[in-house]
Amino acid sequence: MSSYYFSIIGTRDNPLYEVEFSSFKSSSSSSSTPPGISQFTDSVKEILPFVSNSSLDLIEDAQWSTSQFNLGRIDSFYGLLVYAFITQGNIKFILCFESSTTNNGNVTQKYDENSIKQFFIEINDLYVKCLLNPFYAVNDAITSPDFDLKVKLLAKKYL
Amino acid sequence: MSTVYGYTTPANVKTLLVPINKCTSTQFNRHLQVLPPDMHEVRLLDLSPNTDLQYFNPQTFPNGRIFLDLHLAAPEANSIFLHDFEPFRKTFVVIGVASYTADINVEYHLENLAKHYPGAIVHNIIVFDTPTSEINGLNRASDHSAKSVFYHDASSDHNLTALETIICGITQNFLVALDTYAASYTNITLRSPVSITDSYILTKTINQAQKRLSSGSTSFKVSFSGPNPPSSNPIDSKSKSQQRHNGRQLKLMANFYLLAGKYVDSVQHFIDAAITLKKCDDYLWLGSALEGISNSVVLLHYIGSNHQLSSSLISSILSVSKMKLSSLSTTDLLSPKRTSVDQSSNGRTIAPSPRSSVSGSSFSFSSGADINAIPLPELIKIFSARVLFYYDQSTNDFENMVPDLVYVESILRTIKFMIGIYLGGNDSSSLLLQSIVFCKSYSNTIVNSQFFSKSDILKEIDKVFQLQLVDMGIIEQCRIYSTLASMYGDLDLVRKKAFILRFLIVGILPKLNASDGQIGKNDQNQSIRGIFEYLFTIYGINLETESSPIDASIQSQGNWVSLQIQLLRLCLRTTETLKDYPFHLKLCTLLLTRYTHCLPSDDQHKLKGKIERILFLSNRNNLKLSVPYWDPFLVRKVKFINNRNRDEVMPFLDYQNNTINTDEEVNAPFFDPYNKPLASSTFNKDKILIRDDVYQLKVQLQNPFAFEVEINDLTIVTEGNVTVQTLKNQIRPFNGTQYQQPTASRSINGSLNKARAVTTGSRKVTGANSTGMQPSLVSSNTVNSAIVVPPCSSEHFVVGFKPLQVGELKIIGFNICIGVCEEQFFRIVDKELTKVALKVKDMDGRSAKKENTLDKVCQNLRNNSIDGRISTKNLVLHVIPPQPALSLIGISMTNGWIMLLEGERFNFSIRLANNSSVLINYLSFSFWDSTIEPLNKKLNASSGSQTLPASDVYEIEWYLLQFKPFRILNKETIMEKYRTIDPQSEIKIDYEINGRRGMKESKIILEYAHKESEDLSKNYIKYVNIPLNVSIMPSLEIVGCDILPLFSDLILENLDNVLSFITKVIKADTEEISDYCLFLVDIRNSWNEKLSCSLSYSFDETSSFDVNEVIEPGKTTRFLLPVKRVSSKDVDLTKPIPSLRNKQFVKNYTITEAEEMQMREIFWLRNSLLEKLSNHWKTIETKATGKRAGSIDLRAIRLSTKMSNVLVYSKIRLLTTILDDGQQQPVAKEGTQYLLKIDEFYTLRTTIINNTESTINGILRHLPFPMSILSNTVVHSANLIKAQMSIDRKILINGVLQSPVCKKGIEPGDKIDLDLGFVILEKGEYEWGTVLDTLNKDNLQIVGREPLYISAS
Repeated sequence: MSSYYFSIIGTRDNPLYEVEFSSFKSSSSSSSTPPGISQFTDSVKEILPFVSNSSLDLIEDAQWSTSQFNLGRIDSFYGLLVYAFITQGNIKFILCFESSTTNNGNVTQKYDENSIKQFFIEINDLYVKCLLNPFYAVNDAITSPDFDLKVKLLAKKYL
Repeated sequence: MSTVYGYTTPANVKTLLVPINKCTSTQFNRHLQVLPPDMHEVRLLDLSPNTDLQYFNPQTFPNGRIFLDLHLAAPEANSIFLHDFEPFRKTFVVIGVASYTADINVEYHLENLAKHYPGAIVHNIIVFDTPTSEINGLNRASDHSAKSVFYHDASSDHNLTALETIICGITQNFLVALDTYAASYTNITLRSPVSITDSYILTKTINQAQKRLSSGSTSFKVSFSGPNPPSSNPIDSKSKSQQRHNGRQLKLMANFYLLAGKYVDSVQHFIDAAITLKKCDDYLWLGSALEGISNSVVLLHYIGSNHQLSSSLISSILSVSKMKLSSLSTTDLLSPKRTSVDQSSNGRTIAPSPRSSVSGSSFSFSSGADINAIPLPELIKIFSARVLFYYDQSTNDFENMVPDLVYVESILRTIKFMIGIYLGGNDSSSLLLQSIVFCKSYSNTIVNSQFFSKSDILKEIDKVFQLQLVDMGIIEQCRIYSTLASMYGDLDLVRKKAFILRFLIVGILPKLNASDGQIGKNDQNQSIRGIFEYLFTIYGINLETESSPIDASIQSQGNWVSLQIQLLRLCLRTTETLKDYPFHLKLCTLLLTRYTHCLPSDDQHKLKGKIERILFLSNRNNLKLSVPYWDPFLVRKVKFINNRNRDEVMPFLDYQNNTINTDEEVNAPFFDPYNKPLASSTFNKDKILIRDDVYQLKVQLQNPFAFEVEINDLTIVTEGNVTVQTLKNQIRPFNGTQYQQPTASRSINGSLNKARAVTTGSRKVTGANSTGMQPSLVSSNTVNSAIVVPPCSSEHFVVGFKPLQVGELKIIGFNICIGVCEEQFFRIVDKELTKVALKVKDMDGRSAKKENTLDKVCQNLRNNSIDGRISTKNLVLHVIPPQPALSLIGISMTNGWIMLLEGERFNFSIRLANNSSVLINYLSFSFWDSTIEPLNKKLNASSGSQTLPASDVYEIEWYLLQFKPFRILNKETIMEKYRTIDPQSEIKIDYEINGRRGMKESKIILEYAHKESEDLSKNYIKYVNIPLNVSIMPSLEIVGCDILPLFSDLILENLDNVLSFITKVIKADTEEISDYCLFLVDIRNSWNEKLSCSLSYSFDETSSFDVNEVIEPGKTTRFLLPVKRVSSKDVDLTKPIPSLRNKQFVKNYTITEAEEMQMREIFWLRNSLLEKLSNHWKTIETKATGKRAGSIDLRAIRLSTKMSNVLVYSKIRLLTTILDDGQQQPVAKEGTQYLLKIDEFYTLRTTIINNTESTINGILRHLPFPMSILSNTVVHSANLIKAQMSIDRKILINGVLQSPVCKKGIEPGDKIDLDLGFVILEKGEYEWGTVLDTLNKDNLQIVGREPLYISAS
């Protein structure tokens, strides 16, 4: 069970949305902790925003070299992997997670990448819907509980 | 530091510079200017050949270079175990830097150096500042033997060459020493570095690294999944160890050759070593050898030589297939771009090589794969990948495992090289290589390298993070992190750089404690400050929310606050550990200023506590630290409290405008609604202050923090000439009542006291601090008791002040001293300015962004530079010179209460005194009473909707403007006697008050001033109001009135004098009775005493008609007054009704022309009647009651149309008389009747008098009818009436009853007689009326005033 840190970053490096969660899959292995609660250690928790922030450099670099919105794995720092997605409006989705040690080899990784891609695409849908709200301006923090709920549902579905 | 990971570091000779001979730090620094601690390149060519040397004779390779890398510090304790493996880590040369003194003992110093630095192989001394006279004696040119002491001339002219000579000398010494040193290694068995020291830690770290490598990195795996798995061929162990020994020896020698600048030798040795080591699977040393080869190759290129690698052997070690080699070497020829780039970039280095220079494509193709044809960067890439691979392999061998340091540094060197190539782009490669060798930052605008992409470099950097750097020595960590940071910086990845820097700080934080109190602490603080400032810029902490609206909007829209606060916390921890108090203080300030909204309350308290503690410490140690207050928007609102009557003083100009206005309107030819009086006075009269008087300001202070804010001092700041004195002991909280006593200020209010009680502990501390630290503030001149703004709230305070000069007072803000903070200027906040945040990212903005975040915060706070963020306002007041004060000291009425009868007049007097020291030379009076308001209201209501007719409006206006409730009796006396009212003198004014119905209270308003000059704008008016309370009781009032025509035969009962008057008139020849009419008026006495009333009507100046009557209480009496009829000659009855207010005439279209004429007629008739009527009343004087006298309000008289017809003369008059037929004599009247006989002839003579201005024409009609019938018979039907009205068979008429007057008409002023004969046939009473119908424009019908009453018998 791996923990995830997902953030949406605006055009001015300002976070629009942040959430921490953990995978709902294979949660049975450790029954002591409820599923969905992130299990980052404190030191890692502290470092997560910094990792996300620093990966922005790489995202901004990578966006010119590909026509894809999904940038895939963009960065890593020790055990933390950073996946990123960039929207047409230069809003970045960043997903950090600790690579789980239980995975055996590349097959799972491939699967992960696909599901992360799907996750990003659906988040993008959500974000665009949010953007359609006339009361929402670009770069505003997303505070809608509905959005939060839907993100978590997507997380449950894909991650 | 940056040179540590230069790609060619293994070729640098580490040299240490140390000061000796009591060299002071300034001297040392000066010497370092001459001999900078940097890389010094020495060509072997410049060194004298030394054939004695076994290995390193410079003559054999004159192109070679030796790089002396001068350092000031060379910590090598951690890396000493690596000296045999990588000898370049060793500090070979130690140079003592000395200033020349006459008694310098060089031998002693040399011994000392050797003792202190036993590891070094060369110990030399440079003596600077040697006098020129001495230098020849000491530096003998003829002496070519090796020296260990060098003298540097003080004179500057041959600084450079002399220095170069010295460096060469030192290098020569080094070569000699190195020769010996290398020779000493020949018989030593070389072991891998791991086995020398405790292997435990390293094993652990490398194991972890191993784990990471196997699990995480894909790139690593891919790059190393070569076709050549580590072979562990079972070779004879003995020969293997021998090979190993040989290989290691070769590698070490190669390293020494590299240091000595003999690159060809070093390449050869490295290759030999590599081949040997490969055979015995000594991967660690093999990797190192490969690294050495690549280093040597780069340096060969640098000095312009070509490299020759035996491709077959190399490719086996490099495990690069021929295919790949050929692809690498051909690609650069296939792609035209590459070719061109190749030639330009490697122009100097590769061009001389025969292969490249003749690089026809066919040739290259035919030759196939040749490792020498591969471009340098690609070659290095292959090598470095291989190096890492072998290092990685070495981890399998427990004894010969690669140390972390070696591994990481190898990666970093490679990265440095890649970045160098990357940044170099397409530039000429000599410069590029120079930059790589010297580790100089080399920036090229066109970053478009064909060899390494950014992502390639990033992949390499990733490899570093697969190791547990945390377990390494702190110095290595610092080096690695800072190098990484600079690498990211070079790659323009600022956020990555910031991230690494933060990591670095986190890493070194626990180790910082030890460094307390060391020399160079300042530098350390400075550099850490620099790092923090950089981080602030990257993480957006430098947004100046307190001064820039754009920054504020960005911040409000959402910055990464969590990130920023974490970083700031780290900073706080670091600076606290470092005891860098000034910086720490600024950090606290920054947090409180910009992040209050995100900090929980206990954090805010902690920050405040920290600040207070630091300030306390700094004061104790005389560090003179100070902080600005954190909230620049402290002063939210300022209001001037006018604690006097607001109308007390007004500018003279205003006053004049008010009074003069009406006159101006009169002068204006027509009403101009746009001609408003200009607002001549520029200031509100509420804001007039008198010099030296005490006034108060209500100041609203805010406290956004979770702790209490204590205000120690507050001073009003003004701009311009006028200054104020702040009355500091009068500052106190404002709680509603304006005139609070200072003593009450201590008990502010209940809730606040409670809040105080809760936080007593902390407050005690602060109190102690403030007194201890700032004794100057606790002087008598400061605020008497501490004023506290409770947490997260705003509080009003009253501040007393005294203006000191006359003129415009502009209060722009306050100097406030809060708690432990320094005194600071605060402006008055008016409105927040908002700017819409930019939605797009400013790509270039980052670099242009402001630096010095912390200083900026403090500066902004200190200067109160908040203009961009809010609009400020100033409070403008007017200070005028002291004004006189007039006050009432006596009034002749008891308690100012009086009862009056309606219309009563009463005299009283008031006494006033000038209490001030200023002369009063202007005094005017006005009055006010309570009836004015309702009248005004009525008038205003009518003017809007035109409900009141003009005459009624006039009536109200009359009451408002003409009626005088007061009158000054001694005006002349006052004018004569009191031209001025001197200071401290009195004045007595006599008044008459006139009781008016509805009056309840009234006021005498005295306006006075001290007119200083003719310039009215500098003068001010003050008021004194003398209130009088009046109760009005009703006295005499007019209940009704009527006007009757007077006929000569009218019977008037019981009014003797009226009768006598009439008789007199009748008897008089000049007048006719019909010129008069009778005015009846009923007057009622509502008072409870008898009142004697007298009415009089004046006919002209001399004669009048008087009536005197005593009216009993509650009774009504009718007064009869003969009144002269009004002729249109006397009064123009068609004039429009005037307006006393001079209002514009508005035609009322709701009434007809005739009605309006009628109204005007009535108005003017009444006017003339009132002019001539006068009256007064008085009480019948008894002892019990005083004497009262007054007048009746005659304006209650209202005229009806009928009355007005009676009162006015018609212009055409009809007079009738009856003549005896025979004698033509008028028949005498009996009373009102003519007594005529029946059957006798009479003549009726009608006289028409024309008083109009035009000729009249018309028909005269006679209307005789019997009278008795009218009065006696009951009327049954119209026919009957007609029959009875008929004069058929009653009167015979000789002629016609209707006849035209005359053909020509009657001329103006003319009169005409018309005769009509008649005979009365039947007895009875008749009335004979006459009517004249004029045929002129108006078709007027004129009726004879006196109908004839005939009694026939």
